Amino acid sequence: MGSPMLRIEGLSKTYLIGGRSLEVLHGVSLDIEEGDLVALTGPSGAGKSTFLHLVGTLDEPTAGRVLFESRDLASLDEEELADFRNRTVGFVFQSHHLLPEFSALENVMMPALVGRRQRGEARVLAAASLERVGLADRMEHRPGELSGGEQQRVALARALVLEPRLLLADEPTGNLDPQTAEGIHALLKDLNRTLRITVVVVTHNEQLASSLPRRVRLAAGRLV
Amino acid sequence: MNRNLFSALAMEKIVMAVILGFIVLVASFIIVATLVMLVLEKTREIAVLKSMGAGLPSIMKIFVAEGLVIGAVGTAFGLLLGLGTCLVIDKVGIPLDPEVYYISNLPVLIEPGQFALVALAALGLSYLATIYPATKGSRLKPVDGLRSE
Repeated sequence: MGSPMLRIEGLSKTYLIGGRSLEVLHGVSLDIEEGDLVALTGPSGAGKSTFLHLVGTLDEPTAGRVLFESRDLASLDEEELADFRNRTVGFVFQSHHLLPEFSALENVMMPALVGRRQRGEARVLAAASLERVGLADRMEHRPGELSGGEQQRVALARALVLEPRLLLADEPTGNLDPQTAEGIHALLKDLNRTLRITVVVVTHNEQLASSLPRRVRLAAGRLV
Repeated sequence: MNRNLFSALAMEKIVMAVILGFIVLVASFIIVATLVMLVLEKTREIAVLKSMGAGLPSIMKIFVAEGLVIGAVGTAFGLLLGLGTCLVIDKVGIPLDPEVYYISNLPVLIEPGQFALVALAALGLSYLATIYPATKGSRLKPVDGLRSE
């Protein structure tokens, strides 16, 4: 298949906190193929979120590289990075991070508007994306008027509205009850299968992790 | 004798300009402070927008626009207040002692050009005041706004 979609080489991240350096990731190397569905597990503080942020270019590594289709993400300038985040990556955060002033539909439209799509087109895409996560009847609700599971599904719809090739989900079900979490997991698997989206999901949920085709475990900043 | 009078008047003009300049400076810094607060308050939102691909210019535009709206509202109020005061003074008249000033009322001269100049200067300053906070906001690393829960 040639080079993988994502190649992560010797990724390290060190934070300076109060004059002391804290090494969160120690040279993590990993290949992720197109269409992979990867569960990233590990105890709290193992560097899972940091790993996801680095892959999604939300943070810069101290050492090491992330190659997306053989292109070093560190070589991209601000504009190219913004474009990469907009078109290629979708992010789902643990605490959904929806914008509370806007309705579910407007929240989902946001990436499309940021990507300079026309309002009408953005609306159509957003409605379709919300429908895909089963929230067609909640479009005009504000995030505050939705349940935790619904909020997380809106966040998922937002991440998917531009059909990214890579979905990075940081404990999307960390704050949800098992049943709601199950629904979201099923949705992730379905998206991976039908849209061929490559998914990396950080999770504490052993049951989910064991049901995914590929599992990667981080402990104390290293792959185990 | 006239030379003394005119140099005193010139001096007064300079002092007035300095005082007004300081008032404008303080007002501009209030815009800067308001926007810096806003940027700090919206760190999370900025991070979310950046994580979905908003570039530096789009984030800057948001805060420049906000600053200009504040500036425009302030300018409009200021101009209306100034115009109103001028009209009232013109109508009511502030009596002066003709023995000293040779005229009986404080003269009022309303020049549209002056209003336009002030409006332009005020908007220009509000724009300048937005640059620092807007730049600061747009340069935030996305992860900085997402970490804190």
